[in-house]
Amino acid sequence: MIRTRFSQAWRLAAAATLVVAVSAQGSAAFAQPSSPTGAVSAEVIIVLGSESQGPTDPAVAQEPVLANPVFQQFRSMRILARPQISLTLNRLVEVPLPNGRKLQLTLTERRADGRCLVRVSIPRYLPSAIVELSRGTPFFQAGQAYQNGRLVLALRIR
Amino acid sequence: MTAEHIEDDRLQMYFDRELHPGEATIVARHVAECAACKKKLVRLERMHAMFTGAARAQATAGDAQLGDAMFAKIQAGITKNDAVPMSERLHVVSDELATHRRGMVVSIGAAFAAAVVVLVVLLSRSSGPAVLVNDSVATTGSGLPQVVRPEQPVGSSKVLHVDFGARAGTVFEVEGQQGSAVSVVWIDEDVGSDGEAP
Repeated sequence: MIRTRFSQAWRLAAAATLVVAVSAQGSAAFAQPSSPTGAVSAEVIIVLGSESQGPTDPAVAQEPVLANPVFQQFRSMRILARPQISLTLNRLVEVPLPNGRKLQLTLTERRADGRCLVRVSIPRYLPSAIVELSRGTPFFQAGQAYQNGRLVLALRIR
Repeated sequence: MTAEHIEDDRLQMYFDRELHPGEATIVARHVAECAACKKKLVRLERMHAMFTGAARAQATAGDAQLGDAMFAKIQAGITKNDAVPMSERLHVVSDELATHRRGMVVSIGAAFAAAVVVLVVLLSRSSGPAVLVNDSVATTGSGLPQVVRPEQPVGSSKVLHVDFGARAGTVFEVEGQQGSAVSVVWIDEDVGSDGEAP
């Protein structure tokens, strides 16, 4: 009798564990913006930082990273463009830059936890970089000369 | 078979009715005329009767014993149940039901605990360690590929590999929102070139 109840308990526990595991995995997959084989929504924020005095876009001010000492040389920051893009696995996406160059992005891997690997390159400037991105956390590339200032590019996946 | 007597094997087969009809007729005729073979056949019949009789007797005795034992158990059970009043018997049944319910509660509790453990493990795996990395700087001017340290908190951006080419570049790691680590690849370029440098 006792043995039967124990086996029932274990069976019930195993079933509940399985259900929870499956639902947790399902909810984790559901929490991702799209399926692992689907596209990833992203945006590129193109900012011009200048050492000249001037206004700073409120949207830039909302990005705490840009308040980091790395960017403190800029006395003004202005958003030039904010293209929304869609990254598909192993498919090159080009974002034209104000200086005539192109930001080339390729999604190389989508991980189960939502992180993505993106190959970033800017011909004649940055040969290549492999960046691991988490949703909402940007990656910055800065330093290109443009209109007596420097371009700051922020790449963020959603 | 010899000229005068039938071999024992054949006689046994005759006794067991395993011979063909024609052959059995020959054996029967011989046995009817031969006293020695007839004697052997009678002995076979006796032995057969003895074995089957013993088996039957043993089976009958065993059945009787088994039947008696079962009957005794049934009687004992009836007597025992008759000795316990109906109210007490119902009480025992309700106790068993309560015990069963307790067993169910224990089962559900165990299942719930196991489910919580699994959920905690899954959540801890997906959230990762909450390690905050201070700002760090890695610089290369040689154009060699640069690999930034591998361990990073989830919720950060991380440069796994960068090729600066012929330019000098720096990889910064600065603090972002909610303590996340944010990577910055900085490649200086002469101001005024407007990105059209060769």
